[in-house]
Amino acid sequence: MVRKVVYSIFLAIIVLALAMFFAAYPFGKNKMTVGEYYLNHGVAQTGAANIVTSVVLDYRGFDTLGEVSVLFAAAAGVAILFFLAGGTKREQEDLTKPNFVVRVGSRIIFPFILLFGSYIFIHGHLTPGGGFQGGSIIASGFLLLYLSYPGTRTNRDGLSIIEGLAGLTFVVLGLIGLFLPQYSFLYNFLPKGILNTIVSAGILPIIYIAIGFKVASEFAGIVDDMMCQVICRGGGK
Amino acid sequence: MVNIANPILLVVIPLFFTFLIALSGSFLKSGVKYLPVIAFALNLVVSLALIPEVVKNGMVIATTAGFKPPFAIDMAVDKLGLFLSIIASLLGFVASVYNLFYIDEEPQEKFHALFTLLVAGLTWMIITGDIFNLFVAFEVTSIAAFGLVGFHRDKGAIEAGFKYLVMGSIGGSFLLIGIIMLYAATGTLNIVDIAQKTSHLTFQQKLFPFAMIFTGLGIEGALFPLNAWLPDAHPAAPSSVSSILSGIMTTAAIYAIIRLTNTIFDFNQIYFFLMIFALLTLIFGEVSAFFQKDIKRMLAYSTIGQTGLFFFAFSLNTVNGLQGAFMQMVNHSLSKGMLFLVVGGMIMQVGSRNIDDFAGLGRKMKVSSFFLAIGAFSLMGLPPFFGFWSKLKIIFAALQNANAFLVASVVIILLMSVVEGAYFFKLLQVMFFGKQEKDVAVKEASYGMLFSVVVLGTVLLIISFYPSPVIDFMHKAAAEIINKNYITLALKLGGL
Repeated sequence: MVRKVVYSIFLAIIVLALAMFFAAYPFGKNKMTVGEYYLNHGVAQTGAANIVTSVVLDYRGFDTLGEVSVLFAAAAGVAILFFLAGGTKREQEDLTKPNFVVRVGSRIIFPFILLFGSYIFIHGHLTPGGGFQGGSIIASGFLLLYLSYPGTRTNRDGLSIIEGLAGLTFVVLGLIGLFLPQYSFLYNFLPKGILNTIVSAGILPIIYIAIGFKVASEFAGIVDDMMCQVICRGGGK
Repeated sequence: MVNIANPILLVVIPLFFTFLIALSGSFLKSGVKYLPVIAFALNLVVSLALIPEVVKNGMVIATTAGFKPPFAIDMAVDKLGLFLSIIASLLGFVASVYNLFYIDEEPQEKFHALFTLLVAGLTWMIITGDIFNLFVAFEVTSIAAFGLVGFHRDKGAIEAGFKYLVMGSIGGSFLLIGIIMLYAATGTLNIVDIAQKTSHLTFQQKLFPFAMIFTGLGIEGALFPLNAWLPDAHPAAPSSVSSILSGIMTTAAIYAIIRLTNTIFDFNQIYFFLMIFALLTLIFGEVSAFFQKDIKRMLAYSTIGQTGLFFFAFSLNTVNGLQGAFMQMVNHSLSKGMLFLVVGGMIMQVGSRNIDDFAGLGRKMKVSSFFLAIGAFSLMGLPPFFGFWSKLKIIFAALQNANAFLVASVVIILLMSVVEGAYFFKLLQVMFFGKQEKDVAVKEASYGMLFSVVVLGTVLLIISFYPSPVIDFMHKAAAEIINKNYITLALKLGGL
C-alpha cells in the first residue's frame, strides 16, 4: 500500500513535469532547424528517394551502426542466458501438435514472407521500410516454421556467419570513407545514380541489404534460442 | 596513408572485431578470444596517437558521412575525453588479456563479442559529440552488460542481471525522454549546437530535460538512490567484466553528467543538490562496504563510495575541485580495475568469495597480494600513492572557499576514508596474518593473469611517484571544462 502511494506520487511528478514542459512548447511554430535542412537538401545530397532513409543511413548512419550493435548485443545476451551446457537434457514439453492446415499453410506462405521481407529491405531507400523492418518480416517467417514444425532447427553456425558478414560489410563500407580525401567515416562514395531507381543513393542500399540479413539472422537466432527445448546447440554451437 | 589519430576509430575498431568474432566463432572456436586483445591493442595505439593532436589543438573532431555537424554526427575529444579514452582502452586491453586465461565457460564467442562491445560502448559515450549518439552508446553498453552480468547463469547471476536489466532499461527510457525534450526545445542534437541554444530557454525547459537525463545517467553512474543494481551486478559478473564496469562505467556516466551540467546547461543552482547526493552516495557506499563478507561485494560498495567522492569534488564546480575529481577518477579506474582482476584470480584459486577463506593468501599468492595491497593503499589515499594526491587535492579544493557545510563535508570525507581504511586493512590483515584452517592447495595465479595485474599496477606506481605530468594535465583539462572551452574549440575546429 505504502509502496503504491509512493509510486503514484513519483508518477504524478513525472507526468506533471512532462505536461509542464510540453505546455511551454510553442505550438504551431516552426521549430525545425536540422529537420528542415534534411527536407530541403536530403534528396540532392544523398540520392535516396525515401527521406527517412537518407537521415537514418546517411546523415545519422553512425547511430544506425550503434542500433545494429544493440541488436547484436541483445541477441548474444539471449544466447548466453538460454545456453545449456552440453549434457544437461531438459524434458521435452508436450506442445500441441499443429494441425494440418497450419503445417501446409505455413509451407506455402513461407517463401512469400521471404520475398516480401527482401522486397522491403531492397527498396529501403525508395519506399517506406528498410533493413530492420524487412529483416523482422523474414524472421517472422522463421517463427512461423518453428510454430508449425516444433522440431525445426536452424543452422546456427550459418546464422552467425551471415550476422558477422553483414556487420562487417557495414563497418568496412564505413571505413572506406576514411581512405578517401573526404576523410569521413560512412562517406557515401558511390555515385548517386538516378533518383527513384533501385541502383541509386550510393552505398545506402548495400547497407540496408546487409542490415536486412543481419536483423533476420539475429531474430531467427533469438527465436531458435527460445524454442530449443531438447538440447540447445547453444549460442552458435 | 590514413591518419590514425581519429577518435571514430576507437569505436569502429572494436565493432569490426565484434562482428569478426561472430563471423569466425564457428571455425576458430576458442581462438576468437585473441581478437579482443588485438582490438584493444589497436585502440590503445589510436588513443595514444590522439595525445599530440589534442595537446596541439585542444580538441580533435571527426565527422561522419561527409557532412558537417549538426547535420551529421561528430566525435569530439577534448582533454577530459582523451584521458578517459586512454584509460578505457588500457583497461579493455588488460582485461581482454586476462580473459584469455580466465574465461573457460561456454559460450565463449558470445562472451568475447559482448565484452568487446561493452568497452566499445563505454569509449563511445566518452568521445561522442552528439547527444542522441550518446544514448545509442549508452544502450550498447547497458545491453552488452546485461548479458555479461548473467554470464555464469547461476541463480545469483540471473537475479542480478535481471535487476540490472530492469533498472538499466528504466534509466535508458529517462535518458531518451530527456533527449527528446531537448530536441523539442532546440531542434538539434549536436551537443555544441544545443549548448548555444539553451540560453534562450526558460527555466522549465531546461530543468525537466536536465532532471530526466540526469536520472538516466545517475543509474549508470551509481548515484545513491539509483544504485540498487550495482552491489548485485558487480559480484555476479565475471571478474574481468566487474573490472570494466567498476573502472570505466561509472566514470563514463560522470563524464556525460559533466557534459550535461557544464557544457549543455549552465546550472549553478544544481551543484548544492548534487553535493548532497554525492555525500549520501559516499556514506552509503563506504559504510555498506564495511559490513560485507563477500569480497567482490565489498569492492562493489567501495566503488559506490568512490563515485560519491569524485562526484562531490566535481560538484564543487571549481578548477581545483574538478582537477581533484579527474585525479580521483584515474586513481579509481586503475586501482579498482586492478583489484577486481587480482581478486578474480584469488577466487579462482580459493573457490570462494568469502573474505575469511582468504586467510593466509598473502604467503601463498605473493605477487597478487602485493598488488592487491598497492591498489587498496591507493584507494584509501595513503601516501605516496596517487590516491593520496587526489584526496589531498579534493580536500584542499573543498576548503578553498570554505563555509560550514563544506567543512562538514570534509569531515565526512575524512571519516569515510577511515572507514575505507578499516575494511581494506581488515582484508589485508586476514590475508597476510590470518591462519588457514583447511589446508587447500593454493598456487599463484597464472602468468597471463598476473601480466594484466602487473601492467595496471605499474601504471599506478608510475603515476604515484611521478604525479606531476598527470596532475598538470588534469589541471588543464579541468580549466577547459570550467572555461567552457569545449564550445569555443568545437566552433573553431569545425565541430559545428
